[in-house]
Amino acid sequence: MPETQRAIIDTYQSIVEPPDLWVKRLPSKLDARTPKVVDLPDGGEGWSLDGGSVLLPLSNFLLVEGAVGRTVPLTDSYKTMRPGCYSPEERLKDMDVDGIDTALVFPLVGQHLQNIEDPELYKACVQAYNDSVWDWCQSGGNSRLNPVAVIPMLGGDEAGAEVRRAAGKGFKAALFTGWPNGEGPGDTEDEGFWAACEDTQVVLCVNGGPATRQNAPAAAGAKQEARLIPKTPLEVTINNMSSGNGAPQLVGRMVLRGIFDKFPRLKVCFSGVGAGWLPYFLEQVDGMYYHDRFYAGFGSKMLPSEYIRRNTRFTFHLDTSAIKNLDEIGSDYLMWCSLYPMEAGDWPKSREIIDQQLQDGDRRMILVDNAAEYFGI
Amino acid sequence: MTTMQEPKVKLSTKVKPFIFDADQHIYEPKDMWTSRVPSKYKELAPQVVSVPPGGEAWRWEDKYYEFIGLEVGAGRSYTDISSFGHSFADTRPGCYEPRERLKDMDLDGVDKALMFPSQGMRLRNIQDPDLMLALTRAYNEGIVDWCTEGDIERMLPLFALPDVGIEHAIDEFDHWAKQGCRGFFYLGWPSGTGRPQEADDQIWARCQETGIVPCLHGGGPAGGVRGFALTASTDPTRPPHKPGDIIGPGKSTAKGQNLTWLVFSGVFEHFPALKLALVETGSGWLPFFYEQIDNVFYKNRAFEPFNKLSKPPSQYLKEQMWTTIQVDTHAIRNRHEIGVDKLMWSSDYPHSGYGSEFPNSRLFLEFQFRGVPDAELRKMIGLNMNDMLGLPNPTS
Repeated sequence: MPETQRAIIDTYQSIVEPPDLWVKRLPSKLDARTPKVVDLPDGGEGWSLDGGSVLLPLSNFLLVEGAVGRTVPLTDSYKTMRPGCYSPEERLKDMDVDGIDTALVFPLVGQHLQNIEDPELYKACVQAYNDSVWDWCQSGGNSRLNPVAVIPMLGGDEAGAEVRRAAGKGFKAALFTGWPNGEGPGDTEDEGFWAACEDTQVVLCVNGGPATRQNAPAAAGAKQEARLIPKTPLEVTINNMSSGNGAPQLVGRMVLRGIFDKFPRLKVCFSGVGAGWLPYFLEQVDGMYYHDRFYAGFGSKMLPSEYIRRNTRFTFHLDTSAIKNLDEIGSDYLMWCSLYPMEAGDWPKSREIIDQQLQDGDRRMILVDNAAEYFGI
Repeated sequence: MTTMQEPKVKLSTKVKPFIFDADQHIYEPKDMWTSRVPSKYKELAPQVVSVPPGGEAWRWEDKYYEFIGLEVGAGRSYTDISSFGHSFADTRPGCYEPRERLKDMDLDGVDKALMFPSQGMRLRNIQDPDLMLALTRAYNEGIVDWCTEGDIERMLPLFALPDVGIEHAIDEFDHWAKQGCRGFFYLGWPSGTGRPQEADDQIWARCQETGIVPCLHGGGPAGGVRGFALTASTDPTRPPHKPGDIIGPGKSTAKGQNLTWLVFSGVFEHFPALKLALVETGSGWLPFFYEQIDNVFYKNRAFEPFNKLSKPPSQYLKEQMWTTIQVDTHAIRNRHEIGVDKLMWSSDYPHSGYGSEFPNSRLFLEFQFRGVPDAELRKMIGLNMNDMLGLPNPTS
């Protein structure tokens, strides 16, 4: 079937969590500390986590009505936000406008839950998110919206249990925001988590570098000034642009720690971070392996690139250098995404960006088949 | 002791093109700091001590141990490299003796080199600004003396720019500019905060006026947190990290964040003749990065501060930034997008790592530049460095 008559699978959209997402799920005794939307002192709205100990201004999320040639400021309130951000029915309409059939839906506020210090509250918020986003996507109907679960960084066993619970509900993917032990790569601490991902074949999606619970992006900024994270559009932009830098570091760590040796069927998708850097990275990381393997005590048995080829995939929105060097990357490894509703995306003109980048040949694999196979959607 | 016989067959210098290595490092002689700092800093200055597991380490501030290992890889077989356990006694003299360095450059076919620090990269870790300034000045005197003792025409010293206040940065800059230095390396923004400040413009303006090149070297933060926690051990018996952790693929895209700051804060816009060198970060990722940063610009260009730029970000970088490769076939394949006039080959001698291949640099050059037209090759292995530094090209 020609691709134009078939779905495009969009491998990266974000939900903007409806204001009542947590309030209506968490027990009322947690009321004061439940994530909720508040008015910010300098105008606009933001999310308050754990009774205001973390404040996330909506303007930091770079949400716009349609980024192409935008002349409107970034949205900083639900009142001015495009309803497709938070309403599933409206989301589907926006996807129809853009010619997208199926999407993976990532968390937005949900990515920052790890800044909540109290483990019990943190876990309750994670589970409430996963239950709610599942229902949100279901209410869209027709399996067009596929949620990505949030994982609590509360040790390998807790994290693994949530992966299994999410898989049981039907989740195909989970977001990796940091090592589940909360610190670093560790040796065996996170094995319960890797095992759960491998058993369930839930795809781990990575959209930035791994954070510890202490240096999570929001918390790092929060400690400095009134627990508000980045303050100017420039800082927000740089934070966003930099998040992709963590991907090469993380994949290197996972490989060299031997995680893919222990869990050979693990699936990891580097989401929204592009792949134009990949041929460069593969050469450097394999070169490093050859060069340093005699002293470094690498835990891996094959070349790093072999694991990356076997276990990982990459999604991009705009990446002509990846497409130009497709012979080095391999068309099996790439999937397209819209980034809706973020300013870096091109809604409602995604088709134009696709047409600029992809011609014939590999186009259908990148737009449809690879994602269908890898995520099982 | 690693020894190497003089090769019977010398590389022909007649057919050898001019090679200017954009990234070599001094391995600081033992008395680099102790012979130059005021006596009150004698104990706190970096010095070489024996450590219990064998080998030696540099001891900073009387308590942080930087083991001798990966910075002295030159001439060692892959099987002999180690992150600790080495000492000056088993280190190739070309690492720390300038006359021996010249011989090693001859062995490898390298005509000239920019000289970065090894231990000096840690200067920024020091939290006490007075100590940091004293050690920075001592380093700068030391590197200039060292290159002078060798051959300052062939070994070009880069001074360290302190980042503990703009007035100190200016002092240091002016001092070494007068001495004829052609560039400096910086690990933090001159004003000493986590991002470029308007006050830093006083440095960029001086760079533009003098042609002195700021070098942003990979492997450390520009801005970011100070301290030895990331590199050093407070325990002299063991290194701070497991080996698999410290060598995470270092040549990565991480310096993109610093470039983003520079472009969007308008540094290149305000100083169109400023030249910047990006060193030991590799270059194969740049075409990807250029598209991403331009996308951000195009999406936001109606708003502050993006509306202050007169060109898309990649254009500033392609015009004003020079960038290095070691082994980087992807960069060479995509060289026309990065800039055949901007790529610079480097050896990273004497550090250990993929692409630091002394004494076989020319063999690795052959492999990766195969099929590249001669005129382009000559730019990327030599002439571009002269161009960046405002030096005349060799006649022949």
